[in-house]
Amino acid sequence: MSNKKYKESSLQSHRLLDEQLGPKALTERLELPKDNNQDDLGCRLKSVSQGTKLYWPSPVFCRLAIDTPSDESLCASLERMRRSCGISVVRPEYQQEDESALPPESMQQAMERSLDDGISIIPILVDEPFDLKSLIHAEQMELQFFRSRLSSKTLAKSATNSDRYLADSWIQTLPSDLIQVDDLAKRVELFRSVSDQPTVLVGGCIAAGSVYQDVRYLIDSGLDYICLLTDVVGGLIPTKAWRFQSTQRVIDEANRAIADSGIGDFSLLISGTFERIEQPLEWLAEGVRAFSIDNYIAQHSPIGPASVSHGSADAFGSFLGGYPSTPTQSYDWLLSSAQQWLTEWSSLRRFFTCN
Amino acid sequence: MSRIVELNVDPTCSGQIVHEVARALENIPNVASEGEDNTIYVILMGTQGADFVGVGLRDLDKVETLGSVGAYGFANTDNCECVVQGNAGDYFGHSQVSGTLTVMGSASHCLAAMARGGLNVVLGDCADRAGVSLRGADVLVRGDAGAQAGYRMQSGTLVIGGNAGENLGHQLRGGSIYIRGEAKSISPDIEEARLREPDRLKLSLLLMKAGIKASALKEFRVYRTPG
Repeated sequence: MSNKKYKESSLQSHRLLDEQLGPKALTERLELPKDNNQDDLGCRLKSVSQGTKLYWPSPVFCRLAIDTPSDESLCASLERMRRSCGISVVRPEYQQEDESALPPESMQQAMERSLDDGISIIPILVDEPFDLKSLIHAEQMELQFFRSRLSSKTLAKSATNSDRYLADSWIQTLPSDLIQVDDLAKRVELFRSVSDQPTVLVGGCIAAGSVYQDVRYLIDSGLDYICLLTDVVGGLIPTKAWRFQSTQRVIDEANRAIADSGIGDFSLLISGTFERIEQPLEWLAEGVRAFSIDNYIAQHSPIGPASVSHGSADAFGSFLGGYPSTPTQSYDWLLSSAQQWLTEWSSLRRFFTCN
Repeated sequence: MSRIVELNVDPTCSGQIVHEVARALENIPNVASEGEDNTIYVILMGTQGADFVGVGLRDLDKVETLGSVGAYGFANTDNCECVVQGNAGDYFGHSQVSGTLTVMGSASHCLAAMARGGLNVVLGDCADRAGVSLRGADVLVRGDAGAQAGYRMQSGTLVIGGNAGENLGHQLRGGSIYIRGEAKSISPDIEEARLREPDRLKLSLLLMKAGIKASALKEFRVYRTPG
């Protein structure tokens, strides 16, 4: 698309935005104001094949767990965030042998999820052997069209954390065992058929590249939603953040692809950077169902010794002559940061109305 | 006392067999005392080439289908001995973890793709890309294999009792391919190695596990990555 044409479409989208997003007129406020807590600030993702919808308590998600697979304390903090803030979380990629990292298996635990809890999204690395055991009670699963970090020999050998995250980690990858690209639809059907939940969503996550073609292909493959990464951040390291494409441009392209596919109601998720707190509201008004706050969290990551808490054994390490214990990261700041942002954003969202 | 589960497979929801087997086993109490026979047999009837038959099954002593299975049959099974009394569709035994899968007939494309462990036996022929992206399992095809057998294989063993199609071992990165017949063409990614005693031992063990007489071990050739 040429720059001029893009500017025109951008202007059109902003005009549309003004109509879709705005405070209510005084005359529309005759009804009794609701208690803030009773406002439904969630969103619903539609299953294309089943026609049912899965409720998210908040249109916000987080992918940090899959970007930092080895950090257990981060995963624990994200799990607390999922339960206390209602933010949906993509679970970490786990080693096939490491069953402790698997999502809760029993039906009882699956049914215990409160409506206020965010969704636990099970990732499926497309070019790795799948593990159906982790999917049998899954409500939402997401195909990750990237290389696995755990099985990559070059990444596994890397000594430092920052070496693990290079931009090429997000290069789009198809399953190497597919004979034809159309075969992906059958695999999506398999994943969906395994779960025993009434509503099962199977989505796909790709970095923004050839957005129009990729979205058309993934829709044709039978996915229920698509998550597009316009900005990524590796392992909460601020220097390891990249922008692949402008978020606005990606949303426009994806919406065009969805409209051309004729599928109608289709869920689009965005993981990008926002400079203003009201920017995600504009995305929602343009048809985006949910967005990630990974970049926001990474920007607020405290750098320095304050974020590292050493175990008590370190104090005695010198005279005990033992090996120094590995410092463990504390991610308490993450929970409070996300909570504070969500409170501010929700209050702003109540002010505006998405028509 | 062994427990027997007989299930009529509904082709529209054959991916749910793992749940149906679990429910059926809950209704059949395990009354065997210590030292007694405690095996679990599962018989799947009316499969009629349905897709996703037996996916995700775990810890079952014997599973048998009375008929052919479609795509992704017995994918990601763990610690099960499964027999298909018929043919198998594409991606049979995909991501297998352990145990033994046997197809009495022939198998379609991408047999045992990405299988991590266990043994996958096809007593007939198989179509293209047998053992694609194999991650450590053993695959044995008694008859002929199609084109690109062992494509992108990372580790494990592929044994072909008959002939192979074009481009055998294309983009192979690890593991071994044993072939008794001829290949239409061999990829430059692999080269023939000398069949040593450990190879012969491995071959005879795999053939024995598959219930095939190991009479012509000397006729096999082995291919691996160069160097």
